Amino acid sequence: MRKFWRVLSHEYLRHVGRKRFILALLSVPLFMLVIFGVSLLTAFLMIDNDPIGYVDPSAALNGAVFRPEKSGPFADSEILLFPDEQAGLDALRQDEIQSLFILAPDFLQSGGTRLVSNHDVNDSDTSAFRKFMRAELAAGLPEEVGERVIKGPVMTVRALEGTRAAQESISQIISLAIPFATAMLFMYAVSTTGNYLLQALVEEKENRTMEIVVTSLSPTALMAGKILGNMLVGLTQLVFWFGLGGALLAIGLLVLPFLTGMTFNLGVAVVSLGLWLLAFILISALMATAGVAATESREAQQLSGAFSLLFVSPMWFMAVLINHPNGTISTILSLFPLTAPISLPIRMGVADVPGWQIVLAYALMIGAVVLAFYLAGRAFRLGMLRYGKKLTWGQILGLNRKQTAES
Amino acid sequence: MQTIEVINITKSFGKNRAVDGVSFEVHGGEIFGLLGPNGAGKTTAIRIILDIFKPDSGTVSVLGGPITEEKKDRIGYLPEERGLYQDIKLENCLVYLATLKGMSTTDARREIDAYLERFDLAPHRKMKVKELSKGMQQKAQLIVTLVHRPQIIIIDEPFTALDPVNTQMVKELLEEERARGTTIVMCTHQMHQVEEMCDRLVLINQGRAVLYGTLTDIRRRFARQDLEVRALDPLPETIPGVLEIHPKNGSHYLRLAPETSPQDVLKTLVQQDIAIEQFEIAVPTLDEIFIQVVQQKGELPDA
Repeated sequence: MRKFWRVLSHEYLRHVGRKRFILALLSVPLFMLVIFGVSLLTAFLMIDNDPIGYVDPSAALNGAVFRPEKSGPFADSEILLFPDEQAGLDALRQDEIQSLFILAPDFLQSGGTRLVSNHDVNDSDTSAFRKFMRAELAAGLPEEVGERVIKGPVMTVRALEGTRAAQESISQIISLAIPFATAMLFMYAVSTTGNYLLQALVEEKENRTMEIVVTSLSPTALMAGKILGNMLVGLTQLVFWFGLGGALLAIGLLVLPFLTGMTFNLGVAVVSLGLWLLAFILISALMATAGVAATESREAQQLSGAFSLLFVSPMWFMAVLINHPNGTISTILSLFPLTAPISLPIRMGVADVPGWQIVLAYALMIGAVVLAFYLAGRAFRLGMLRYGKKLTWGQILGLNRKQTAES
Repeated sequence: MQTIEVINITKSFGKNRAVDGVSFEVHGGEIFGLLGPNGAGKTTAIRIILDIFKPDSGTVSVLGGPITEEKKDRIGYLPEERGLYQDIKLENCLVYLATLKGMSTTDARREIDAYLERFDLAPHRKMKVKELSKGMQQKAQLIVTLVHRPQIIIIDEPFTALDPVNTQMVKELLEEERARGTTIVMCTHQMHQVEEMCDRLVLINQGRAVLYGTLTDIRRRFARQDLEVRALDPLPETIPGVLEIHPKNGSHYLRLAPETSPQDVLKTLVQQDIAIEQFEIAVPTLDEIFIQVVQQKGELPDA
């Protein structure tokens, strides 16, 4: 047991103490920060809160103007009335306003409006004016009716084969995005951990330390120490990332009112965590198999790349998973052990998945874990001392009985 | 008590029988030679002793019984395929491997310090292993084999990649270990090292033990009544009862007919008034025995 802990701590510390690990740890939040920063900067550069002008020959808006209460770069645009089209166009030419809305004389009947602008028209121009227009048109209505007109309809979205409905709002989108982002981070950590494990095994074969190590402790203690040590490395990454993400979310909930409607589905969380944990073990066993089967790290990297690709492949079917959560492709993806860890939580996020499918997905995943461990053990026994000789999948699976020994 | 007892072990890989009914014993405190050409099955035999492979049949007893995890700590092993963790500091690498042999970190550090000094590696302790020369890595590997003061040392080709100075140092080290009572199993192709150091040996060829015993017994078994004669006068071209005479390194090797005794030849030479400087029974070298055995594929008299 003491040697198991020694291997575990050795594996953990040799990664955690390295610059490569610290860079990998910081790279994810830094990447998010850069993406967020660039998006914010782009949005900021696109802000144009110069006044908006309008001409209203129909007098539908009663000559109203809008003057924002707040000033500064994020303040709403001022909305000004011009007596006629020529005056408005003159102001536009002199850059006094960013765009001019010209209502048709029969606006109340036709709704006709022309927009003249000195830049590409964007949503913020039109939505600001629409909001202003709705408020002015509803000014004479009873208060409740007026508010409904201004807020517009509350949309409930339901997938054709789905049984669950969700209101379309930013908080709901974030509710779906969180399990998705969590799954991606988890899979990233699992993949990184698997790679560390694979590296550790290939290195021991490459530098011939394996033979000394296996004469010092049992293969079980060695593999258990390696797998758990490297899993802890992945767990350290996850704790750091989720801790940081959780802190940001907590701050967001306090300061961003639109997040308050966010929901947390405990069922999805429990099913996802269980699947991810099994996926963690599955990928560790697969990477261990690849590590002892390969002769050099480059070859092992190719194998691990193929496994990682399979794990993230549901990303390519994202549209199918969201639009047809209970369709054939989605069902297959959420049952197949290598694609289930991402597919099933996403399906569960948008629709009610039949209970038998969840049970079957778990059963298949457990079966895959058992099989992967069997193969890892077999590959370890056959391949640990085969220096410079590749172990074929046929040999691992016992299909090819031709084996050779170093003697 | 035998330190290692190997009884009739066999091991096959597919259709290839790597070890075929090999038996031998290693006595406590001796240096035992495990010899054989490439692919003979000696590494497989070692791996079976060390419980890396399970034999298909036969038994192995180490220190009085089957090998256990606790017994692994009492064995020092230097495999033919040398290796250390390349990307970590030498000192950390040695301490880690020593603790896997059951040493505490404190004890491991203390012992390793002493060995590093002795092997002139102390100035390099903070260097990464991959930055060390091949010879330095070989010495570091020897430290890993010896640091936990094992009762049994199994050492495969111990002199590979060592210069004469370091070869001598390793020999002295192994002699020291023998003097301390350590049992040493040495696998090597260098027959003069075996002749110089080993008490007993087994020669494995094509998976079978074809020679086994003390060095003296084996030599005696292969001695063919040949004589090595060094004379001050030229030897006659023919001597009665001698089948062949051929010069070698200033001496003459005389191959006797089966019915001829050395005394008959000596008598003839004295009668012919030949001044003799050296007259002895020529014992074959281990190299010669090795080649003879391997070329005859194990078809030996009384082997």
